Amino acid sequence: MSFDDLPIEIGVIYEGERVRGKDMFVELGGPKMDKKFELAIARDMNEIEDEKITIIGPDLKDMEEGSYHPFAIVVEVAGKDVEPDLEGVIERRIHEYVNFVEGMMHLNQRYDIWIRLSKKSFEEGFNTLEYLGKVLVRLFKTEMNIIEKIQVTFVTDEAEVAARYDDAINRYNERDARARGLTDAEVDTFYGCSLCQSFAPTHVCTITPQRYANCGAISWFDGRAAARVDPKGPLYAIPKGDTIDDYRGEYTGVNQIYTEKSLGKVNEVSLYSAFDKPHTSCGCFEAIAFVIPEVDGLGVVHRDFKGETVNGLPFSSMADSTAGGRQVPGFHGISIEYMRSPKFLQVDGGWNRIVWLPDSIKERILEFIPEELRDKIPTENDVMTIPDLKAFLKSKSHPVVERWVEIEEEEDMSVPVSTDADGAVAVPGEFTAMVGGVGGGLEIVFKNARIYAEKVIIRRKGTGDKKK
Amino acid sequence: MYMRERLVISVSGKGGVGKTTISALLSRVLSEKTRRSLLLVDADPVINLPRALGVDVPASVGNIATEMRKSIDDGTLPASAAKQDILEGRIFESLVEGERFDFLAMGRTEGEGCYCYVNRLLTQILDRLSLNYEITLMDMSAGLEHFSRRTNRNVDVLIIVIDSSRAAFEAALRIRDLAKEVHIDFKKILIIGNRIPDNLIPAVSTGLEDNGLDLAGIVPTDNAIAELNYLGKPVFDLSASSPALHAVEGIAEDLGLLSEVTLLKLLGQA
Repeated sequence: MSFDDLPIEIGVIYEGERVRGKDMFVELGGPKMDKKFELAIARDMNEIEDEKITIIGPDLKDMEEGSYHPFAIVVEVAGKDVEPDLEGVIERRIHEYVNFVEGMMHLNQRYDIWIRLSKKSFEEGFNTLEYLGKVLVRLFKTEMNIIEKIQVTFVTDEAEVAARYDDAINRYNERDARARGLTDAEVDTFYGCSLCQSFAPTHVCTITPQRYANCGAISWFDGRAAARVDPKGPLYAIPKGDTIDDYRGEYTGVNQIYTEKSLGKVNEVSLYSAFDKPHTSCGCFEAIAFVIPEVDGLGVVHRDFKGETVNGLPFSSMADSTAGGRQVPGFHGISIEYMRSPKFLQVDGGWNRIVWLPDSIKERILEFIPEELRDKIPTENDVMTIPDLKAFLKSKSHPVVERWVEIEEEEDMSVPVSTDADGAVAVPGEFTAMVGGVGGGLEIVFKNARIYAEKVIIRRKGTGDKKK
Repeated sequence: MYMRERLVISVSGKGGVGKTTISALLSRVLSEKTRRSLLLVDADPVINLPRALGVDVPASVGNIATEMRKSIDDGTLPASAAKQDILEGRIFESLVEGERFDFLAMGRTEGEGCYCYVNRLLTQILDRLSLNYEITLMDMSAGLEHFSRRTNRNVDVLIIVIDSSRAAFEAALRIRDLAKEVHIDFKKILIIGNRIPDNLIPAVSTGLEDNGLDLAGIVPTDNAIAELNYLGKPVFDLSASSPALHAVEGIAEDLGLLSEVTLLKLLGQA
């Protein structure tokens, strides 16, 4: 591929180049313009006249030095493997390729594009958008093999930009709706983030389309963008590998990265559970899903929530038990965005298992809580003690109540009532509920502890064996 | 010209020694005596430099990052757009573009929540932006955190400002040591003495020498500057005969900032 017929250079070295206000010949789009956009559209092969470049409105040479113009770039592509799902990725390349042009700056995307051409490049002969069209056509065809046909349209005419604007916005909205619907099963790459490594050396943040980073800041799309720009940086691609269990979110690729990055401390992870082989928690998580053993449910509290939660502990105390890159069953760092995901703790019962959350979170994500549960999950305005919580859940017939029945029945059969008598410890039924609730795998570590008991019962799950 | 030689200067020192005044004076000298493209960064969260330079700052980088963090929380960003791209544009928008120099205020982020990711994006974006200027001058905050964090990573010339106080002197030593500790690869570290009384100059100078530090010059007390500060006026209003301005010009000259040949030498490219 050659650009010898163009008056200026094209190359990756110009990528970070900014055209400063005093050096600019014209600005296309940008904050001063009300309407501007760039758009990639997948078309059928017969809808495209290959390599056609169209300019609607004044060309660069018709513009006054120092002037501002409305602007639209429409790149239409076709090819056997070109699908509408790729439009976003193709469109993003416009940014990259325009930046390869010496003396041209491209910032932002979609309806925010901001392009400047330098006086110097204009004076050297880059005086028509035809040249920019050639750059795009050639780079797209060489860099993306799936593109067999391409045509590019530039619009600088204000009325024409406005006429095409609503269609562009609709297309972005549709694309975002598709992106929100993107599932973990549909992609073959997840992204890992080690930005928190100084806080939590064994932590690996696994970012998938349906599981946002714990900090709530990094989406799968952010991961993809960062890994592309800087593959050796703190955000890197995780090949998903084989799916061990789709429902639990277990993948060979994820497990392998965990083994490598945690130096063998963590080897297996279920992405959608807070209890069984849970995802590790850094120090930056936005919220904690914490077990409330007395009701066999999970509460959620976020970082901004001041004061105590329903179990008497504030965020900060529970954060200490959660953080540090460990797998702590029942204390699970999450992002608020993850609560908008259909995969949200689905192994544990998802929303059916959530029994308490702060009012401000509830408001923020109300539409993502299943409708029939919305008034069954209390906030700090409803209950602030465990007995009140129990009563609330029972009165509203929260789904966790069904779990109590199962356990209580089991309880009556296996535990002697006599342990109740001294009254100094929690009601045994409740303690068992915790073990039952965690579904095995609960690790209890005592350090420098002295434990006195009249009687200790350790029961093997399912067999009913009792050992004294 | 994109990515030719570039020089990053940072101005540090204890709070109240006159970092901002020295930065502003140096900015004026660089913008008037050289034709080099100049980016000025106020990295002090208090944001005093704009007044000293007479620029209006619509939004600081910190404001933008805070806003970004907020829209992340509210889930109002477009689902499939990458935040690094959105942030880059917003920061460029907050750049104040002028005839003599461009200006960026760092400010600070507000509110809780994790800024690891947003800060990392900022670092990348600022590094990239400063590649577009031949000289970047940063007025740092009094604290030392930035040494272990971000903005100072690519600094060529570290200027430490002191007054005659013991505290300022000790802060200078700490800054020097910390800079070494975190392996910032300075081409030059130098000290500028601000408002040091004549009778103390020899002692201060010897004290620095004994600790391996170089006193590049002294900026004298200048009533005209006190008056400007009082009125809140920019250094560009200062008369050309101002002794402080004159002293800073001398320091810049000695440092090699004002001549093509010596500047290249400073960059190790001659």
